[in-house]
Amino acid sequence: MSFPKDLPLEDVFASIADGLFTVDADWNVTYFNEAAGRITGILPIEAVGRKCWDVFRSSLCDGNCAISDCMEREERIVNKSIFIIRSDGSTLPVSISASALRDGDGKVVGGVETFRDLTEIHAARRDAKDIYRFENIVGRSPGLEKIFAILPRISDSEATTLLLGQSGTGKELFARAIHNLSPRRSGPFVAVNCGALPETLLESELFGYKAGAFTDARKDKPGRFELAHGGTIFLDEIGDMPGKLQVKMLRFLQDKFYEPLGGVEPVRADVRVIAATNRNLEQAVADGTFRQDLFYRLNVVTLTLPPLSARQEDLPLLIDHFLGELEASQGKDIRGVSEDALHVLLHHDYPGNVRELENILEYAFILCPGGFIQMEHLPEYLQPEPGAPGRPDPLRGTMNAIKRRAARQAVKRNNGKKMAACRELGITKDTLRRLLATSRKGK
Amino acid sequence: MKTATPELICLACYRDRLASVCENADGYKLFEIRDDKFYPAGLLSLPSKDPMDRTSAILACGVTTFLCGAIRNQTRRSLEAGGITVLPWITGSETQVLRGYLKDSLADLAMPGTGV
Repeated sequence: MSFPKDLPLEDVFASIADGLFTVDADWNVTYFNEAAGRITGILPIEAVGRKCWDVFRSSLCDGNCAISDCMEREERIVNKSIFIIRSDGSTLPVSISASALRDGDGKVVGGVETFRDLTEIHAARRDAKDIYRFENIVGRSPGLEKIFAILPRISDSEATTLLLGQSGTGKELFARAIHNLSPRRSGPFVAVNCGALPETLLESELFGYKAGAFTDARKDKPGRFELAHGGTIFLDEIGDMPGKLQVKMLRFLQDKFYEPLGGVEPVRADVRVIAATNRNLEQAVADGTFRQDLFYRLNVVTLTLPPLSARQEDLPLLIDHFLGELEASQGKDIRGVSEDALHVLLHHDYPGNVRELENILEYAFILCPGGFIQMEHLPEYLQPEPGAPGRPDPLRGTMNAIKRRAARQAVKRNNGKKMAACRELGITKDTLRRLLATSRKGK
Repeated sequence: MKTATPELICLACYRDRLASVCENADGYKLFEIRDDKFYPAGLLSLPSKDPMDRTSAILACGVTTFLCGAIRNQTRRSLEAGGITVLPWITGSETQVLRGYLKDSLADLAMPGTGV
């Protein structure tokens, strides 16, 4: 349908609730409606004439521009989730749609972008998930609920806490939760991976150094303990801490004092320590690689986090949670996981725990162009072997049988909504009706 | 005009201009300011997006001032906690920004709606 030529376009654009702006071929903003001003906090009069990236300030600017993408690919972009940064430094989730603008000869003369504030939608989604969520930890398995029950009491105390669990069980997430629930929540949370840095660097990173402590130390550098003053420091992989530093750590845990590299005066830091490891510290003590006195100092309150294999019932919630996060950060319109891919995800052992699940979904998110994550989007090691028993081959059978199967599955995926299934498959409703009818006859 | 002792400043850049969003920057460019002139002092490629890692990287170089476009509060706090002066909400090419810094006229390069 063509747009009536005599309508006052500015009045039309001013009346819509979504933000809308247009740019010319040099990326100068040529129009900025009132809603755009309200959402971004920038007056239309300030925006017009400026470069669009200076006005919109989104996660796509600086190299991934949606309008530029539309111009190159000659396609529209619809409902892409991104975020923008407002002038007060806060981030705002928005959904954008974009298109190139062409003149009568088809030459590109600029672009148009509309955007919708997703703050309320995100808040509503978060509220719904909060039912099975504690701080940022998602789950409802009995093992996790037990921990949720005691976490507030652990947080209220000032006790040094040791988190044990396999790699990828979310030890930092629990440490953050303890900090966020503690009286120190308004102070900083500083995380350090003790296994990631060589001994000398780890010492200066943790305790800082004084000017002149070594060549190139031209001025004092604060360590992470100083940066964590009034808050919490999270020492991950504490089992990998070298022996010399274990002595310094022990002293800090005993009297809250430490000495920066090259310093002569002990410095006091008001910091709560949460440590974590996936190693068996008792064994390390027995082997002589970890100090017994430090182990006892750390082991005041110990929390053992369950592996993902022991909390299978949390998988659907976690999958939903990670897909939501990926959607918000990467801005792809992924609607979920197809049945057969979900079957594989729910029956995998996850030796790498929650981190492995997160990585699998991130991988699938990259490969999936849109719609539903399918089997072929999962990493190769999760793909079933050809001819494996119990896994129907979606491409086996005659062409008609494959089409009928695809039609049935699309309707199922879309909760019985046939028009949505048509859109997903790119077919008309008559074609879908015919495929379903022959499918019923074939049963 | 900037005089006094040499100082090291850092620009969060995208190509040859300031990145519109600090976190999108594809490189941190370092410049030494000496005798009212600026001298290129290196480029930090950005392997990690963690604000703490990025802060450590520029602190290790001795940067005292950080100039950028839009910046998240969290990133800004991380830089300022390390003792770095952050001058955000600026737009323009590298040269424009450096000249603006030397002449104390960065307000002319303020992003719309920020009133720097």
